[in-house]
Amino acid sequence: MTALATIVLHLDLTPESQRALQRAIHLSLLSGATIIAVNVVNRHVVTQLARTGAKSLAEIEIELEENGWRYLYAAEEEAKNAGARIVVLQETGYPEEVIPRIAAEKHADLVIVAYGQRARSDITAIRSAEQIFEHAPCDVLVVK
Amino acid sequence: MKLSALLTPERVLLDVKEKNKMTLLSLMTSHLAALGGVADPTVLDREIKEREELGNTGIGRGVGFPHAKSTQVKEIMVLLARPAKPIEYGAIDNTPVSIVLMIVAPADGDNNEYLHTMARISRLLGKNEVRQKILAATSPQEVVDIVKAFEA
Repeated sequence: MTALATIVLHLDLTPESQRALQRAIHLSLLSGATIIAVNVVNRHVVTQLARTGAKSLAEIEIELEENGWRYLYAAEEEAKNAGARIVVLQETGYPEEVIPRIAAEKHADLVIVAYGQRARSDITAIRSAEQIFEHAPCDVLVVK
Repeated sequence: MKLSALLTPERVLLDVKEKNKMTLLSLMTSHLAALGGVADPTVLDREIKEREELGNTGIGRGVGFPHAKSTQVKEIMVLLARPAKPIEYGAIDNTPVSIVLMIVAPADGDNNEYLHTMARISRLLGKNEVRQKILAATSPQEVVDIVKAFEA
């Protein structure tokens, strides 16, 4: 692996993504790389939740956006407290499109993604992960 | 906690002449201190800038969101500044910043409340309509009213 300058970390609010954050912080401290922590307000999830009818589309988006930001700022605080360099970013869309695009735009050297048990049992999440692996312009570290 | 519960006209600076990010941050911490509740503004200024060094707080779409937990304050405090001209901030999307919202919270305060407040503010300032209205506002009171209206 070449020297790391930029790590794109996909934070998806799962327990595995907390472990992915730990890996990113560790690598950042070793290499001096900047972590770009990205949460995607996932349109797949918005659509799935909207189908239940319990909440409106707008309510679901507000909830996911706020949860995403809260998670991002918690991650940022953890990284900065450890002395790692990090910036946070939230976008709405599909992770399989957003993550490779940001990795390309920011010339990332590594993408770190969580791929836990829940994701591996959900066909939409499996396809999304496969596309991230396929389209990322650099190496991908999968945290299980 | 809602931004409207923290923001008062005294905490809004419009058409700030500063053209440099770091001098703008210093101006903002000085202004916060002048309003009271900051033990040592020099320390707070250093803490804000140290956090900024570890990661730019430009969250995109022309918004800067400097933040830090500090031993220098006893409650969550905010200050909104609107530069006269967009300033280079080094934001993640490379867009110059037109709105800067500084938030500081007690180091030993409720972390969940701090994170939740930051999340709400980020979502609010992520709305194009909110940003456009703040950019067009002609007085600090108008900015406060805009925030109240969108959080209602």
